[in-house]
Amino acid sequence: MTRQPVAAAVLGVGQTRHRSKRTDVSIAGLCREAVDRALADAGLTMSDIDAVVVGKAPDLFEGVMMPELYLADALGAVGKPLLRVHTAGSVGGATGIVTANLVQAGVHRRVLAVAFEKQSESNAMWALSIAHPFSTAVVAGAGGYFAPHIRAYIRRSGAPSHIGAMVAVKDRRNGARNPFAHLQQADITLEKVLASPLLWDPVRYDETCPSSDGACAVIIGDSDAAQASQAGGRPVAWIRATAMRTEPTMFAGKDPVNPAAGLAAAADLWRKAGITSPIDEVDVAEIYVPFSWYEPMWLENLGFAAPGEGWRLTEAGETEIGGRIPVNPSGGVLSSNPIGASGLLRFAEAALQVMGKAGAHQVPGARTALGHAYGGGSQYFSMWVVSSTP
Amino acid sequence: MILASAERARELCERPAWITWFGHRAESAALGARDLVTLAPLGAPDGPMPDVAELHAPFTHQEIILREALGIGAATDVNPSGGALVANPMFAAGLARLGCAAQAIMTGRADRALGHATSGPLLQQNLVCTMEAQ
Repeated sequence: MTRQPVAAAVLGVGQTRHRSKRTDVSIAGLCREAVDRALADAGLTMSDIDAVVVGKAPDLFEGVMMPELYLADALGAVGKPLLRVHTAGSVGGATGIVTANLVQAGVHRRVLAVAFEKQSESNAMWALSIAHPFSTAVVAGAGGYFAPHIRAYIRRSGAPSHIGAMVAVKDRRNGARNPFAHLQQADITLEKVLASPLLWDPVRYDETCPSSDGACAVIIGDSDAAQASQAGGRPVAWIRATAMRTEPTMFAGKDPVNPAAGLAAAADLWRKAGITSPIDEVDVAEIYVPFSWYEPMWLENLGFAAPGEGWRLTEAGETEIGGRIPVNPSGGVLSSNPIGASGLLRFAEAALQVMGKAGAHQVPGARTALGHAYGGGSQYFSMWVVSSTP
Repeated sequence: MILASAERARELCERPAWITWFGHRAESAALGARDLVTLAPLGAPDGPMPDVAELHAPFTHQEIILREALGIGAATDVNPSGGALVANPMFAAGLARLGCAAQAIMTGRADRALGHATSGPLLQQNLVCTMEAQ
């Protein structure tokens, strides 16, 4: 007999002010800033937390091996179960899902998820350029790896060349509505983006995510904990479905433009959430878009648009706040990229939207939201759907 | 290691190692923050001592600390596999302890077994899993 999973909800969200260099805090201090905000948001203290799950991208990004051991005190995890999750850039999303699973399985009542990156401590470009056995060395960071796949998307879809710049303008303007966002560029224009230097054809400087120091924390609780929060006048975000899928970085027949693992994860997610037409039933999406062109690419991979048609939503302004499917009202990864935290930020921002707490970047009336993350060479996919009602 | 629900476990395995309890605690990494020869209580359930205990102790003194913390007496066979002192693929050695404990049950060498995994030079992570034959 299969046991029914326990209902779970996001009770509180916290994040840091993301910056190029947070020299005012250590890695522990950075995480604690997000944790304290999440606890305050949920009206809880550390003693209400049963277990802690921490996620971050490769240890080489700061040069601290197994940082979870050193962070146990700062995360309030001493005397509690402390788990580390690692799925490259998608790790924040995976951390949210592992945390949700611990509650849904009935193992714990309230679990804290923390994800972080302090990119200023090391050099992510270098850390991503190590040679792996039996694989092609990337040697040019993430942009060098993803640019050829973007070119393949443009060739396949026939998208006009300014679509990427449109995404960048939208996300940076959205980021200017989010006080936590790293880049605050309210005055950015299409002309400025198009005039910025080409880094990896067709990705320009202004179409690329920044390098950020930052952390995000999310508290997930079972239905009793959620109802207690609601009784105290605090909105919660009910987790309707989660999905995770993986495939190798490279294999014969891999489609890096529209990866099979992403398609499978999305199909599983919509099925579990009971959603048959994502664009009609989802009010807002926080999608992992580190390079502008990944907005139309993931709109297709996620099933918001047919293959080759995603760019039309972007071009028609449908991904802006007020459009059919607002994408990244928080400013997204293009406005803040503490890599390990970026996925959890997407999940957290989706929760904030359905809790009605997104402030100046709130999508009016949002009731159902998607949080999405991907990592590695488009090989790890994690996503969840949250709703204002169970 | 393959885990399955009760129904699938009976189909897949003649004598599955049934997981009866899990305990997991993190300890502070700060040298002055605690007494290094004791561990946070894991809240292990009362019951008969395991026939076999596989303790993840890459250094000999850690086995002494763990035996005491877990209340393991002379009747329990500790690390019949040789433990981490004979093979320590660091990030797999903990899972190997749980696997060796499970195998002791699956092969009929034990009715009750305990597996333990750790991380960090100060036994900062301690995960204990008890298993038994049904």
